[in-house]
Amino acid sequence: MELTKKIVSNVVLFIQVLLVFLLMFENSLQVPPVLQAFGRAHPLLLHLPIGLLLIIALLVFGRKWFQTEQTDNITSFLLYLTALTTSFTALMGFFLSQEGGYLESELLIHKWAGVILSFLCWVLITLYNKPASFRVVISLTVVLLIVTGHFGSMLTHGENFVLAPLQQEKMKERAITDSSTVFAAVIDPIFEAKCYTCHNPHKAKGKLVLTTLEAIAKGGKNGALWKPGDAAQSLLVERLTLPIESKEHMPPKDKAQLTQEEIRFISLWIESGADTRKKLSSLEEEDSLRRLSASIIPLYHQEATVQPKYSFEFASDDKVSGLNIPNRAVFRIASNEPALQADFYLREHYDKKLIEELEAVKDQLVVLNVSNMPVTDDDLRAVARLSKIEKLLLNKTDITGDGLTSLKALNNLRSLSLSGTKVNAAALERITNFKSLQEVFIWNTRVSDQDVDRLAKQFPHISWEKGYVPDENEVLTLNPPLFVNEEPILDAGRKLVLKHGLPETEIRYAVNCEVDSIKSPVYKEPIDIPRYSIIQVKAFKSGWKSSRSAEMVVFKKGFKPDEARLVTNPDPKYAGEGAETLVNNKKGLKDFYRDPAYIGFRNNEMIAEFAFDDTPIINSITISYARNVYAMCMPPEYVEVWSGTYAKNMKLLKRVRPEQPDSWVSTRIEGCIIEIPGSRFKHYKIVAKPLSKLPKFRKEPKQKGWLMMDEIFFN
Amino acid sequence: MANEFFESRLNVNRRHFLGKLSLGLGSVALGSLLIPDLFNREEAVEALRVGLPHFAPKAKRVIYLFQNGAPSQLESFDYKPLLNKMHGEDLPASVRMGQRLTGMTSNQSKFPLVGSYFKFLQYGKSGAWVSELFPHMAKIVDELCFIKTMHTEAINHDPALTFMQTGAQQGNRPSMGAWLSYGLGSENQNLPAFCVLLSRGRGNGQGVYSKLWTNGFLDSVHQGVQFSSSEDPVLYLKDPDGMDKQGRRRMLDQISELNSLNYERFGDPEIKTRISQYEMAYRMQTAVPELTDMSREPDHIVKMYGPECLVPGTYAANCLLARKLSESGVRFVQLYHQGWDQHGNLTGEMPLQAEDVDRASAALVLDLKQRGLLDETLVIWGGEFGRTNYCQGSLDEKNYGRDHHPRCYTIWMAGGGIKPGMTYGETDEFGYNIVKDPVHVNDFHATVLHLLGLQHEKLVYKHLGRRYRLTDVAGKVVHPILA
Repeated sequence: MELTKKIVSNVVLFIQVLLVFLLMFENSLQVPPVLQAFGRAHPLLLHLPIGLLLIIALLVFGRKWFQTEQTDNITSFLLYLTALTTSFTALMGFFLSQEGGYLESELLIHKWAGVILSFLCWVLITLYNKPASFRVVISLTVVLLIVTGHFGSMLTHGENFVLAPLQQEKMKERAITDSSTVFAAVIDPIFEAKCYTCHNPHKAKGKLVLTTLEAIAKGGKNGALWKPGDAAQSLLVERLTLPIESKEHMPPKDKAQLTQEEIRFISLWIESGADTRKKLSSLEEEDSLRRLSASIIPLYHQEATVQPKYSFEFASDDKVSGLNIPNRAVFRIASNEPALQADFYLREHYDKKLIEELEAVKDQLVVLNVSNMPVTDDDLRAVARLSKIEKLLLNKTDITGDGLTSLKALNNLRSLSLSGTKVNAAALERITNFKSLQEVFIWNTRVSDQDVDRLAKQFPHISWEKGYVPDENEVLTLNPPLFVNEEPILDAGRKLVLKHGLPETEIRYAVNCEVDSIKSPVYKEPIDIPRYSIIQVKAFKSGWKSSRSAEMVVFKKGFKPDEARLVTNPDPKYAGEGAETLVNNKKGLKDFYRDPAYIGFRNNEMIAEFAFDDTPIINSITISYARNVYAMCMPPEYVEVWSGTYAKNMKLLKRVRPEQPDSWVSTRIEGCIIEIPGSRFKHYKIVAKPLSKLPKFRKEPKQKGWLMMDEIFFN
Repeated sequence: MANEFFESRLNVNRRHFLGKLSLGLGSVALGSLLIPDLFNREEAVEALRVGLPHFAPKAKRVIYLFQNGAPSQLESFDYKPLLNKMHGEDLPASVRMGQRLTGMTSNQSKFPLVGSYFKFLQYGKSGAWVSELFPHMAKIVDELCFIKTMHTEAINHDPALTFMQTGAQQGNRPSMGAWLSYGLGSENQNLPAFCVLLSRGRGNGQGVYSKLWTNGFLDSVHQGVQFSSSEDPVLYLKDPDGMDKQGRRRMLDQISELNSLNYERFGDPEIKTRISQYEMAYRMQTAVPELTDMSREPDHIVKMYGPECLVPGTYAANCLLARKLSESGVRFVQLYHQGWDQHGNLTGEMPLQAEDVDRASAALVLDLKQRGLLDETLVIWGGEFGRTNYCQGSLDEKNYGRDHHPRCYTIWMAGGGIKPGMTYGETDEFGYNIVKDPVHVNDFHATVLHLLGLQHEKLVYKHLGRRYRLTDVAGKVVHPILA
């Protein structure tokens, strides 16, 4: 006997350790079917420990009534049996809990209480010889048993299972239907949530009961609850709207209060006659009650949409996931719906077989979208076998309409999209007798407007959606042509490429002048731009207004000096990367000057020196700067080019004054070209003076202009 | 960085330790049970798994036409003739009720009311008021649902924009699109579930940053993929010269093998994400050219969206691309059009902005409709807050500006489960406060999630010890606007 007890005690302890261990690794636990079955015996076994524990408690506390020689032995025996069954019950319970589907918070309490309970049973074994401690622990265990049992029963039977029959009158139908009254749908739920606790048949405070209409009609000790048509004189509204500190205010201040909307709703309802039989559905859409109710109802009723729409059998997850490949997605429309949708992608991977394979789920498939796939009329026969389809999208498929007849087999087909296909009116005639068809989409097909009108008249039970029809009289303005070159600096041999997305559009371009609709050349092939130029382009097409002109300022990449040096300092805020900024062929944004692609001067001239080791022939120098009248970035007042064989002995070659803007012209990066006699000098010096006075239209003539230098090109 | 690396190794070590422990202890404790894979429940994280809505959704996809900078509701959809009558008069203090203003106008000594410079007319069966700046939207008002009583908590662009996109004013939470990608998964495995398209606009602009389409604490596969505004919407997708498809495939297989080795070593989930992103990019090589192929569109699509739709990077081109992406199963297409911040020169800039977006926005709704897709695609148009009914800066005869106004603004929604041809909510006749049916940003989010079949209270992600939602701890579904 002692040996058995020892074994049992160790087994029980082992299970305790195992339980703790399992709880620690709960998240990575995979319960195999064997253990699932084991777990499911939990509700069976759990009754043993309940009974046994209570008997032990009885034996311990009722010692004096039935003390016999054997009592101690029996108690001890029962104790081991209890500990063993309890720990097994707990273990089973743990496995059962892994199946999921239980209320989380209740489950948590039940689980831990159960584990502690089984542990206490083991403690009881060890304490058996210390009667005082034993009595304390057994009392504790019984209390815990009740707690565990209570939460366990909540998991299986739901809350308030035992007492519910006693409160039958509280069980009310909460689903909203067309026949729900305003009272039942909105007001009663508010009462239930916020008033019932004190105003029910068992606890009628102020002799008022709110649980039934009859009781409400009787009123309380202060009389009737409301006066139909007069909210201001109604007791209910008065009590609801009294200041919260007032003793008469309802609900009392430590209880859940009605929201402003709820009070407004109740007042309005009383105002409108307090008709307890008025149906919610009889209210006008615009009715204030209806509108207010919309925000109250969801607080007390389950979302109507949560109810599944479809009742057919679920397809197995394996079957559905097996049908999913990169170019065909098959998925349930919602987690509580058996209905499936299938979408096809990637035109080049389409195969008729992909539709045929869907037959495996034909009892669930309600939406099929094969738009853009090369589906032929013949393929529709495979579609016709998917009998549950309600919505079918065949936009931009290769069907001509001959195969549509076979779709008659689709008894549930409600919506059919044929936009962008070659179907014609004759083909559509064949679908007019489809039983459940409600809408057909035929934009961009061979069905003429007249045909659509005729079909709409003849078959008004179907909505024929012809979509956008261009207005012949509407003349739109073309968008300007696009410059394909992204870089404004052209390398040697690089040409300027223009493009317009609309076919048969004529592009005309002009170099350093406005585009003329007749005289300017038509763009045919990439243009060679030999030097700094401003290219203007415009698009023309018959039936369209010609585009506004777009321009691009193009620079020609030049010789890169071997040395570059700034003699004067730029404004410290716009120091760029020093002289390198001027020759690095990097362009900044036209309106962002903190970019190191710029180097800015305002209070002094820019003087920069450059040297070439191999003295190339240079014919022109182009300086590039930002023109932003709004930000006072102006072309320089003048630019000088100095050159010489020695840095210390350079001569002025040329001085030019760039053209200054005379109005609020748009912002751009532009340039100024300085022609020089072709020569091979080693040293060059460029002097550029910021504008000393802004032009008059700028209205701040005393202000100096900024010179935002971008680049210098030696061509 | 070094620290993170170290931590990650610690993490792995602990994991390894526990893993070993489970084997060691398992052989003692569970050996008798003879069930080798007791602790091998697969974490159900397959990166691109198709998720499922909680209940049957009304909308399957969203296209959000974000008007960045906050277009004025008073020059677009919220018609307030009283402002024209009281033009130039001071905003009564009883209307303003001491509410906070931005630093840009709080120093103004007067708040002269200013009426819309642009005329309003009623359109459609629904009789919605629309200003002359939006003639194309005016034609489709019976498809739209205007919410005139949006209101937000932020008063400046960045927090307001971030709030609208992520449900929080600080930018560390997942964006709406990321939540949907997380909750619903990708419909088309060949494209990202969440795409972002930007366009610049011609008015005073405000920045948009990638934090607006961030995955936040969600797995990085849910991050928005920004499409480029150039001819190639997705950069680096083309195989370089001399590389063929097989070569690319072999390369990816090898890289994936190396990455898997690294994953086993470091256990960083980002490595798995990277592997799946490479695979997606490979599939995108086929999917994206189909998207940009204009040859399968009829010529008059250009008339519908306007010729700008042929210019990559414009709002119109983005609308057209958005339609194609959405049609190809992209869950969430997020557009941003900048330039709506008219603090001054409103009458000069707003017509340009409206011209940019009006035709293409309306075309998008119609285009979805004529393909039978509008009933399953939710289109949203609107900014981050409204603009004040009083003038910012000098009020001259023909020009004025309006400051930020978070207390009310108008957005519209169309398609996917939205009641068409209705106006929800009402502002006072000054266009300053809401008098009926306010819709908070949280409510808006709750409603959008509801339309997509998600209960906003159930779409949660546990991070740093608490559960997060797009709607945080608030939000009510706006039932009256649901079809």
